[in-house]
Amino acid sequence: MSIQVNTTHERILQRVDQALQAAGTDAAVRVHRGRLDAFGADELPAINIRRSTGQAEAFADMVSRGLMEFELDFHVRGDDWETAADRLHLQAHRAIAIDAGLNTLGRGLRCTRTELRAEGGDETIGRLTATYQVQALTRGSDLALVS
Amino acid sequence: MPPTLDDIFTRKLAVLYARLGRDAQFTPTGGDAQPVRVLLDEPGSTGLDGMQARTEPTIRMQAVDAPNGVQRGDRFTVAGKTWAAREAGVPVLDGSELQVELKAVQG
Repeated sequence: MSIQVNTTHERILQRVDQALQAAGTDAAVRVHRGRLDAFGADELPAINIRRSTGQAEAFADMVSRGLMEFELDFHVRGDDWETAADRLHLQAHRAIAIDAGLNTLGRGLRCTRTELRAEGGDETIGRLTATYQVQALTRGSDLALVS
Repeated sequence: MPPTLDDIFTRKLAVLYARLGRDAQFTPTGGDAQPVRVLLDEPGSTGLDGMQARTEPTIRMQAVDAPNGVQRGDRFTVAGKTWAAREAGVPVLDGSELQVELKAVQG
């Protein structure tokens, strides 16, 4: 029996991080996990991966179904921020949608919502937040947690 | 007419700008560049829930230097850097000054 150090939710986020770092998006290696500090102009475009809601429910007999959510924040600047954020999102989506490692940790990866925000200043600063869901099944007696 | 208390602020405003202001070029959209004295302020802040750093540059200038006001897109050049007005100039206090929010001109 293998003992996992982290929940499935956390392992999925670690894998998303690896996939995005290697994807060659417009953000290059400017991919962060749960960053709380402000991005400077020279740090953009960038992606911030944030853990979101996790749920578990009984599924058939002795099986748990976990539904894990995470959010990708795409930070950009400039007058064409909407187009830049949209392009970055699509690049990132393709990278995680085809990642084999991620596909073994969970199933049914889908983007369920996007939200755009921007504010003025010396340059327009913008952010597109994409919410993703992934599902995983575990044995009810498993000591590891999905989320 | 001798100076009166009523116009002391207007008279002193020109002195203030002469001493504290910076030389700039004001170019209304479709118009010619003209020299003006401005007070350029570039306070730093963060936006988007504190997740992106930015500056919010503003210029203050004497309203008399822009008889037709400042409109969105009008340009200012200060120390070799060009800015565009993000929106129309807003009168400050008694209206003898205008405050203009700026954005950097890209490219």
